[in-house]
Amino acid sequence: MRTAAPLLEVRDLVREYPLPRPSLFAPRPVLRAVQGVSLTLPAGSSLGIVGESGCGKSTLARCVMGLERPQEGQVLIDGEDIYALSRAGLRRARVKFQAVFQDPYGSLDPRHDVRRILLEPLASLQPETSRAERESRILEALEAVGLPSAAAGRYPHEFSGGQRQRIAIARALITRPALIVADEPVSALDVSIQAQALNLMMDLQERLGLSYLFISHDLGVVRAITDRVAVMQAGKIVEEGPTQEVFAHPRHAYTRRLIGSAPKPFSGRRRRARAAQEAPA
Amino acid sequence: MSAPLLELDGLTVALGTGGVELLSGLSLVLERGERLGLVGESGSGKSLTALAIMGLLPEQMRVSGGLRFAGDDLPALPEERMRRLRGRRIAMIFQEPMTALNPVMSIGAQIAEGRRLHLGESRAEAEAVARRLLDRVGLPGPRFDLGLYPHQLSGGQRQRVMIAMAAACGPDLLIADEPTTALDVTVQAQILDLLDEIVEETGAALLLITHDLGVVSETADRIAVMYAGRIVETGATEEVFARMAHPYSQGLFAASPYGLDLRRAPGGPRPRLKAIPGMVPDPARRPAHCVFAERCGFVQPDCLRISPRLAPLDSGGARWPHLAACLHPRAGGLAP
Amino acid sequence: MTLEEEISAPQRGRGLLRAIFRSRNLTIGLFVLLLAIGMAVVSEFWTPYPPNALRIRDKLQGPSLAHWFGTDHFGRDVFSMIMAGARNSLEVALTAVAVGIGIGVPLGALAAARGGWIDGFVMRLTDLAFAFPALLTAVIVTAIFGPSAVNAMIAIGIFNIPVFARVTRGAAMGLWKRDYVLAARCAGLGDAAITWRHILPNVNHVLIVQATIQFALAVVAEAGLSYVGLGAQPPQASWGKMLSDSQTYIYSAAHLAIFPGLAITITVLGLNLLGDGLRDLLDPRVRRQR
Repeated sequence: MRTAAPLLEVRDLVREYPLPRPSLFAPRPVLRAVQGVSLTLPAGSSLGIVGESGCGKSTLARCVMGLERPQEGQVLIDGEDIYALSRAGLRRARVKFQAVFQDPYGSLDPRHDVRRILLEPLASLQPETSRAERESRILEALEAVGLPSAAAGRYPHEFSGGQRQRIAIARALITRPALIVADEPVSALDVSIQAQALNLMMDLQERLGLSYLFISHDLGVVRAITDRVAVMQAGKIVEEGPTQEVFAHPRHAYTRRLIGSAPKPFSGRRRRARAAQEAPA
Repeated sequence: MSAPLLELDGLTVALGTGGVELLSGLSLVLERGERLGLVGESGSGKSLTALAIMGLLPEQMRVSGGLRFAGDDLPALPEERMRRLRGRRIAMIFQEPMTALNPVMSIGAQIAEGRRLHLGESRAEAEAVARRLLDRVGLPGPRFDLGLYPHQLSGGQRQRVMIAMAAACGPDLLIADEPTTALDVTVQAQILDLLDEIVEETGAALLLITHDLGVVSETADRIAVMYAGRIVETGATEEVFARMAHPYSQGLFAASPYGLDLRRAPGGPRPRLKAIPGMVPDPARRPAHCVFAERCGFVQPDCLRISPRLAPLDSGGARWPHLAACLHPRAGGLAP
Repeated sequence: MTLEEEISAPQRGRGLLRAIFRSRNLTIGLFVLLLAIGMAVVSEFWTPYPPNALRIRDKLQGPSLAHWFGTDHFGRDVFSMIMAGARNSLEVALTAVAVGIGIGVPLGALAAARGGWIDGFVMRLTDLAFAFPALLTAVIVTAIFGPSAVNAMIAIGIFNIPVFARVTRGAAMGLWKRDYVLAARCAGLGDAAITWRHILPNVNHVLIVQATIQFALAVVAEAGLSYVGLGAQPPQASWGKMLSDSQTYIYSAAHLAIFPGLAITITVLGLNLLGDGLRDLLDPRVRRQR
């Protein structure tokens, strides 16, 4: 909104992994996890990436998080190619984008208390902040995710799965980023807790003007929280559009198959089989 | 009149002698050919119920109440006879086919193992059956040889092997604990169809344990919704979905993204999911009154005094009566 | 309970001391280690007799009130020598373990952090070290630098390096795949900072247990080197040397073999119990259960 450039732009991204040689002298085969993906995410909106395991959505997420250098293409955040930046430049840029991961048990270091967990991005990315500023940011982040300030002195194992995911979201918020890349952030949570977490993410988006790149295999979740959705299959985006539009009128055969396969309440027995058969191979 | 295939009659499982109750007074009957879906969130006790039926509860857990299989009182059965039931008449399919299969044994040997053990077949006989079973679950030879190992298969293929293993001895009861949770949606649909067909063909009873309302709705004839170690609502699937008499059943549905009405005024805020406030109570801290009262949106003063029992909602006559453990069951119709 | 109450509620039973005393292994192991350390420290200031004082008149006496553990063939007080020998044993073993940790842990952490050819190189290096018979290397080291307690420390220490390198790498490899490491990367941390803040604190329970085991092995190794004359040199008292000196008198004065032998056995047993107890105490899976 402030600038003409979109908050996040991914251009022709390619990320390949070399595989082990099948025999000693054979050429190394290559796994093309992401094959030329382009995306645009305007500030303040949310974009979902859906697809099944192995489609490349998590690799794409890690490329956008600045964790895996792509072989080709660019990741532009606020118009700046993060892989063209120097080390120091990338650290400065990281203030603007943070991440939330799937596993609320694995994404928090069990040896660190919540204060230390929240402080890490702040101390590393914004070392200029004063002690008082840091304390107030910790309280602000905890309050934003609905945790009491007493939580700061506690360790991850003292929290439930849903609470841990709130801590992970608080950590992502502490540098006051514009973009949050969330890789399956609610997949490990029970339905009722998942709803709390999704509502929290929607609240935060409206209050703080956040943008989400929301990666999930769960169509229902993506439908609930995103403005636009991109369907990925075998490293490519096969369909992209406004979420409601894509769900109401899927154009690509794979999208239709995905939507048709998802079990729905009220549908009655054996509806699923027909849906799967309808899909052209 | 013969005894029902599986009958739970006030089944209670407590931890140690002190008695933190993990399951409290579960009652249900399952006959051959029926498909029962057990739905609930983690901590509801649905997987524990399966372990209790299989006789695989950890040592420090005490079982009381009735738990009968074809007339046999399972907790009183000597381990020797229980072992002959397991795999032979009661078979189980687990969530994670990677860890439930032995990585150093070929799939053919794993499928044949049960028949050799329980039916005393020779290796050749058992492997011939294993071949037919693999063909049946959609893993035809020669592409899917009996000599393959689990790591050479995809997740969906491994789950097919699990189903072949479970069906190998023609069991009377199949217990499937979250059989498709680890799989992609398109694969999930195929696996559920396969499970459905196997049950259809063998006439076995299916106890399907899942957290996914969509999965039960499409697979089960009737469902039992579990919360905090209790069955809070049960009945024919269509009836339960049509009415959702227990506020927890309603809440579970409304909280899932299926329950979300996406209509939204242009420029207006995004509609929120109807989250159930709070958390499932810890087994040691379950209240003596209604276990859902603290999170319930329709709570009345008497809900904080009385622990409701499962009571019929309809006049009866139906094959599966619709029951709910609620003092003030909802009249019907979901919020959206 | 509301969320607020639950989070501010006091925690139950986390007293470290109580946990230690609940474990019999840990209590016995800790007691033995403290006893050995106590003897070593006290021997610096006081022993019943000077451990090196020769009193030929009193030679080869059995245990008595005057000489609790008897005297040796030079009339030295065995109890005083055991006390002084404790210092030698602990010093050598401690240094050897410190050498192993000081070089092995960084190597293992580096291998886990970088992977690829660095990992391969470090691992082949440890293979090489494992492939050499320990005693042979000790003999080579002492042959080059001459027999002494310091060289025994180095020789034993060299064998601890690959042990700690492997243990560290093995434990760290799994941790590098955790999401909290990814989160730390998103916070802009480099490999070194992640290793320091997230990897090492999460492997230290494994290392502490390994260290007690290596400590016990080092006590035995030191005794072995001294026994063959490659460790501590006279007049320094050493359990291993006492054992080798006792050989000639094994039938006439068995106490000369029994007491240093018991000292070694009890110390090693105590350290192993300590290691087992620490493993139970520090195992996160056990400890984090609510």
